Amino acid sequence: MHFLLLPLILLSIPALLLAYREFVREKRNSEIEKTLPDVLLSISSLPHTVSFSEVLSKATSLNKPASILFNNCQALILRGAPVEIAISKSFSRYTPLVEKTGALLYSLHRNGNSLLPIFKELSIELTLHREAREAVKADASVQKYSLLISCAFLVPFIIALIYSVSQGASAIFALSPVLSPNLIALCINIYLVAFSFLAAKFLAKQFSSHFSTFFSITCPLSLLVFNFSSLLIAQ
Amino acid sequence: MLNQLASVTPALFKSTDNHLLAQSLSAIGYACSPSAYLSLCFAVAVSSIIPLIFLTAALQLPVVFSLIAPVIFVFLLYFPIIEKDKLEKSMDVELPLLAYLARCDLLHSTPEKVVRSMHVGSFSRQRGDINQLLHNGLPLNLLDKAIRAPVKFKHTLRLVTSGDESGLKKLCRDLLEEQRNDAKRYAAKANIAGMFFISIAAVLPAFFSAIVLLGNLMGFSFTSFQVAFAFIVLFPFLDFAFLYYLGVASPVA
Repeated sequence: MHFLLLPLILLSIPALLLAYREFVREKRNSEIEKTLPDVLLSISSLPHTVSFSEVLSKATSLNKPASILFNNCQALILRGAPVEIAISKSFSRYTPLVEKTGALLYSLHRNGNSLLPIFKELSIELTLHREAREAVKADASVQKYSLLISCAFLVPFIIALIYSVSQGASAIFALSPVLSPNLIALCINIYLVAFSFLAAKFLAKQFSSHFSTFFSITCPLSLLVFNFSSLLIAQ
Repeated sequence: MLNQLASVTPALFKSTDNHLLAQSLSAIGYACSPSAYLSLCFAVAVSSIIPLIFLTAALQLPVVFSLIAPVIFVFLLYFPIIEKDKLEKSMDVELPLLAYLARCDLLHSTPEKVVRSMHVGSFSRQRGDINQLLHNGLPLNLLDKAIRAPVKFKHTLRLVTSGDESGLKKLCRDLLEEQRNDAKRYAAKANIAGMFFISIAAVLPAFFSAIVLLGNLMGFSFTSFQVAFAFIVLFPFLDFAFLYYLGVASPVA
């Protein structure tokens, strides 16, 4: 199965780049959620006489990661998009908490600036929500990364180690195996593809993400680790 | 597919009146009666016996393995209940925010307008039901009794229809506290689950490959079909079963 090594190495490079992109995306979302309460607190201190566009300008001028949401929204409105669509487009690509803030921002636009003080309360409430979600997310992140690491490295390595040691022992004891070791290696490769598929499906469903991202990370890496490790241990 | 099959299966068990099953089927959107669903489970389990007998013969395993059929029956029977629990769990995650947003809306809107516009992700179906019931002329104060939804959602609805802002704020805080406690409870389970996962996904196939290679030494022998079946069907199935359990047990992120 060693002829697979070169194409697998080539496939693993985009897989690692995808993993990096996924990590960056998650980090950016987390930073937006973290700084959103500060931006909302600043908005809530504005006088009732300011216009909706001034509210957006104030939020944009703060230069926090969450300001990008308001900046995008302002840019869309300036290009002539209706406020509802501009808010929906700018706030819906991120986490549910961010999306719901967008919903409240639209209420502010519809009902006038008398709602501005709500944003102070919302800022406190968002912090509480974030804390509660962080507790769940911390466990979920551990589960996600341990599953990714198990699938891409640990499982293929353990299988390669025991398979290669057994193959070596079989040669030492001069056993004539009923089945060719190549057939077993082929079966293990198929198993690793199936395992990567299942793990990617599970992760995509659990974290509302793309199946193809996880599968393109785990599948080539697990095959590469298994074939490379068994080659290395055999030597 | 299960939903489509269930909707065309004739009811063999006429007297079935399982309230929990009926509730679960309705919650996950299966348009069939409990007796029709029970008939489908029974039919699938019975029809799996013949292929199982052939499979055990091909794998040269004792015929007792064909008794997997009752396991299939029990799994299918509990499937709607498990799926309903999963659905309710994802709703519970969004409920604090829904309650809080409804409270904010109550500050500048009437309860009826708030009820009509309250929606967050998983509650889109309930929103449609609410609009339908109100359109049919149902009084606002009877809405929570008429709607088919989890108890917590009904409670939220009752607070919104009565315009109880402070009640909604308190509910929101209580639900958040509940989520924090759930996360703590799950953290303990997750460690054990991790250990089991490695043993199912890695150790089991690895040792099986060792037994196959060193089989002569230990007095075992396997056919190529048995080995292929183990790696291509059995081990992935065990992984699937474990990941399915993990999906049900873990809190929604």
